[in-house]
Order: sequence, then structure tokens, then C-alpha cells
Amino acid sequence: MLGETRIRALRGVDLEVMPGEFLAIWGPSGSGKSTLMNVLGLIDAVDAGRVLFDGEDVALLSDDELSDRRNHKIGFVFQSFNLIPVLSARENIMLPLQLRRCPEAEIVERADEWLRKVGLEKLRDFRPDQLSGGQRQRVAIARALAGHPKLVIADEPTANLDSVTGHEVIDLMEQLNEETGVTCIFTTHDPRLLDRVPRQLRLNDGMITNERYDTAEGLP
Amino acid sequence: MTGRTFFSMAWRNLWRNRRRSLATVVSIAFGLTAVAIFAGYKGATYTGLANIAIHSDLIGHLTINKAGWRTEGKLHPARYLFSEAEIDQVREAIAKVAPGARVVERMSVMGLVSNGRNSTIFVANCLNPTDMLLLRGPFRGIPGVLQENSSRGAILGSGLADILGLEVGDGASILVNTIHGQANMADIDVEAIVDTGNLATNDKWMTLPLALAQDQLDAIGKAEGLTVLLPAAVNAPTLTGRAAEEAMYTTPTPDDETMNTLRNTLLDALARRGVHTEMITWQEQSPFYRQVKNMFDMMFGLLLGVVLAIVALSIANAMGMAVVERTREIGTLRAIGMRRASVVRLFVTEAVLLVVVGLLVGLALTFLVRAGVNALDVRYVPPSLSRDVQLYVGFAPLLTTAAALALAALATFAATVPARRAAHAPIISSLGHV
Repeated sequence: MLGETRIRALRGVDLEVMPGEFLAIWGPSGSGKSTLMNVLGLIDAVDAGRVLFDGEDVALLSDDELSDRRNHKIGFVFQSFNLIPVLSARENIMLPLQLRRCPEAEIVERADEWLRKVGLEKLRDFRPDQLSGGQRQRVAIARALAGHPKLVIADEPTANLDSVTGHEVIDLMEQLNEETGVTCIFTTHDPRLLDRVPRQLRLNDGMITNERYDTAEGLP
Repeated sequence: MTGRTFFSMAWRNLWRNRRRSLATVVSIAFGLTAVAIFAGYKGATYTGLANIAIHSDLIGHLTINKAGWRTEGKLHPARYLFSEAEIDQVREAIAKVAPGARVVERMSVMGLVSNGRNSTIFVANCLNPTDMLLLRGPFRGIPGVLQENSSRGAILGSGLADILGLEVGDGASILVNTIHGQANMADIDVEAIVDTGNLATNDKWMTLPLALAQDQLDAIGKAEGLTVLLPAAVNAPTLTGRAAEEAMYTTPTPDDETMNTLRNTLLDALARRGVHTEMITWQEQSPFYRQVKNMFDMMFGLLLGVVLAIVALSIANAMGMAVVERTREIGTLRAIGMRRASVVRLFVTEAVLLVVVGLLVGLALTFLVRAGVNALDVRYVPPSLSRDVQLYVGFAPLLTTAAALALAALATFAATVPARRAAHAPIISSLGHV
């Protein structure tokens, strides 16, 4: 809904994403990119059609079950980083694991490991307002991946960063996708970022208008 | 997420808007202080009135009369007086039911008192000088007690003495009816003049020795009523000056339940001995105490209601603002897997922390204000009293705890409403909140 007007944000989208894929969704503003990401991230529901996540029909899950699936299987990277301002970099990374009630020692160990991986081990006690945009997005990526999710959803992760930092962030996501095998889906306006992504979807008016595979084998 | 993590996040969130948190803490603290101070003042006033009734007005803890005295006693006084044998029976029963308690015989007399030129009505409370001292309990040092060897001494209310122009050492005459209806006259000596503290009685009140009253009423060896004083008051050390005044407000008196149990046990014990009596407790005999208590209880309820409303609005406002400001953050927490119940818990934890800090500050403030008011020795003349009393603030742990719990419960509820609203908002609209 947009005010009193009902908008069909997605139409006839038929999409299957396989484990380990690195996928970019692009298109103009209002094309439905964010709506599709929200549906894939289980934070929005579709009015019609089915969404299967890891084999489960998400329409059959309760709100608490959806929360648990997001916590265990999905990592989010937001355009505005969305770090919790009262928590340090390390505590932000620990938060999803704490929600999962992992043992404290394991939480600390994993948070430190991911701080190292994103190169922020020296800034672990810094609060978000003491970090640069790029550093915040690295923390957000570490937070998304520390729980070993199956899917990372990154909605315009580079939109608030300069082009160099934006490329660094995508490099990092690409590297982590290769190292951990996690499925990564990100949206972007920037066509320059698409060159290195093996699968690209172009959305227009809520429909997939173009799909391109740059892998040697074609379909992953 | 562990309780410690919730606590840590909630605590840090409170520091994000220090001014608002401080305003909320101050409103809770002032609210508790207002309630606790009033509860302390009310409690001390009740205790003071109770001690005045028992020890200053000399009504003791329990008054025993023969069954029917209250309705028929004035019409047929001879029929409703205790004989010496009956008095002994009562003493024996009380010694068994309440060991250490003392029994005081008393008579009441009313008639005319004259200075030789003018006369006016009087009402006299008559008892042995030693028993008068006994009934004073820990306040036996306060002046205005009959002299021990006095046979015609009298203590006059200051209003009565003023009407007749009497001073200590002056003589006067009293005219009363015997229990058989004949006029009888006696001379008295003014031993002391006291302010009874009660405007309604100060111009009529007199205290006379029991023997004089028995002689005037032609009822030698008899008693109209028997007053029981419980052991704690009998054995209490004598207090004087400031200590006595403070003890008025702090010396506990037996409650309704204790007195009702004692009365029922005594009624049964005396009935088994063939002595049929009626008894009233000090609470029932002091209508002023009951009226003041009812009035103060009502005022306390009103104050508590106002304070609870202010605190609830304050907490609801603080939490409502926090929820609006942190809508995007709530969306993030929900997106990364925090359940709705946990979002509510986080905000409720913040509210509880505000309440706990507010209550602790309020408690400290209560003790400070209490100490300050008591040290200043503020005095005032309460309604229907003829002398000033100290504005004494006691401490009412039960009422203060109850008020604190009510504040905590209401604050929690006030925080739950906006927190639930935020937790149930669609995640995408929370994330899109600007």
C-alpha cells in the first residue's frame, strides 16, 4: 500500500535461487527490488503465489517461526547499515547469536573471528557513531555472516558509500561467498558493480525483464 | 538473549536521552516521596491519636461494663454497677487471659460545679490517683495527675476553670445525684488545671478521685466500668519532654484484631464465671480517632490515585517517545530475528529500570524529607484540638512498599502498550521509518 493506493510491486516473479549463488538484482527506483528482497528475507509476505525458503512454505510459519528462520538462516545488510547505536562493533556482531542463545564463549569467539575477517579487530569496542560508513557496513556484513546463515540479503549495501568503499564492500561479500559458500543476493543501482556478479536479474515495474548468467556453465 | 544482555541494552538505551530519563526518574521519585511522606504522616497521626485516646484521655485498651449498661445504665445506675465480688471475678479472668494486664475501676459523675457565686455543668471521670498514673503508661510524667493521697482533689479542664475563675489551690463545690436520685454535695480542691486538648470537653471536664465519686454517688466499693491496660503499656518506661512527644507518634498500639480477640476471649471467660458484660475496645471508644482515620485514608487514596496517574503518563510518554524514535531500530531487531515478545521485554526492562532508579531515589528523598520535617519541629493546631501538636512524619513500610509495587506495576503496563504496538508493526514499515 502506498497511502490509500494499492500498488502491485511484483508481478509474475518466478525465481529460484540455489545455495552458494552470488546474485545481483538491479533496476530503476520503484522497480520492486526492495520488495523482492523483503519477500526473500521473510520480512514481507506476498498476497498471491508461494514462497519456499529452504524447502518450507513460509506462509505456513507463525511470526515467531519466521523470526527464528531469519535469525538462523538469513543475514541482513542494510543500505543505512542499521547497527544498534548503543552496542559496540563486537556487540552488534554478537547480537544475532545472542538471540539464538548460543553459549557465551562461542559468541565471543565467533564475533572476534568475524571482526578479524572484515579487518576491524582493532575497532571492536567502537560504537557505530565512532566508525566510518565503510567500517559500519563491514560490521553489518560481519553481523549478517557471524551466524553462518544460508542466505545474505543486502539491499543497496553500497548506496551510502563512495564508489571505492562500495567496491570494497562488494569485494568482501564476494570473498565471503567464495569462502563460506553462503548465498548472497544484493540489489544495486550501480551497473559497474554488476560486472563481477555471475547472475544478474533486472527488474522493471515488478517484473523480471532480463536475467543473465556469466558463469562458464551458464546456469549455476 | 540472556537477561544480562537485555539489562545491558536497556540501561544503555536509557542514557541515549538523559534529559527524558531524568525527568521520568524525578516524576517517579517525587511521586513515591509524596505518597511515602503522607503515609508516614498519616501513620504517625493514627498512632498519636491512639496513644492520646488510651493514655491521655485515659480510656485504656478495653472498657468493661455490665451487660446492658450502655442502653439502660443511665436510667437504672444501681443495677449496672459492678460489685466488689464481680470486680474480683473480672480481675481473675483478666489475669488468666492477659497476664500482666491491669484493671482500673472507674466511675463517671456529672452535675454542677460552683465557685460560690456561679455554677456550671461538669462531667467527671473518676478513678484512683495511682490508677490514673497507671493509665498514663509511658506518659505518666506529663503533668495533670491527681495527687496520690488526694481525697477531694480535682483536675479541671482549663476552659472550665476559666468559666468559674478558678485557679490551682482554690476550693469549689460539686452537686451530683446519687444512684438513688438524691442530691449530694461535696467540696473539692483544684489540684491542677489542664488543657484536655479537645474543644468540646475542655470547658466541662473534671477528674475526681474514685473514692469521692463513690461517696457522692452512694456506691461505696462499686464501679461503673473497669478499664484494662495491657502489659506493654503497664511496663513501659516513663518518658518526658521531647521523647514523650515523639513516643506518642511512634509507640505502637494494639490493632483491631488483637483487641477483638481479647474481647471475645474475655467475654467467654467472664460468661463462664456468671458475670455478663459488654466491652468496647479503645478504637470503638474513640470516635475522633475513627473519623480522622477514615478521612486520612480517603485522602491517601486520592493522593495515590493522582500520583499513579502522573507516573503512568510520565512513563507512557517516555516509552512512547522512545518507541517512535527507535522504530527503525526495532525493525532491525525484528529483521535479525528478535521475537515480538523480546521487543516488548526490552522496552519493559527499560521502564522497570527507570522505575527502580526512581523508587530508590524516592526512598532516599523520603528519608531526607522526613528527617528534615521532624527536625524542624513544625507545629500546628489540628481541627477540634485546643493545643498545637508537632507535625511528625513517621515511616510506613507496608504502605510505602505497596505504593512502590503499584507504581512499578503501572509503569510496566504503561511501557507495555507502546512496546506492543511497536513489536506488532510490520517490519518493513519499521525499517522504512524516518
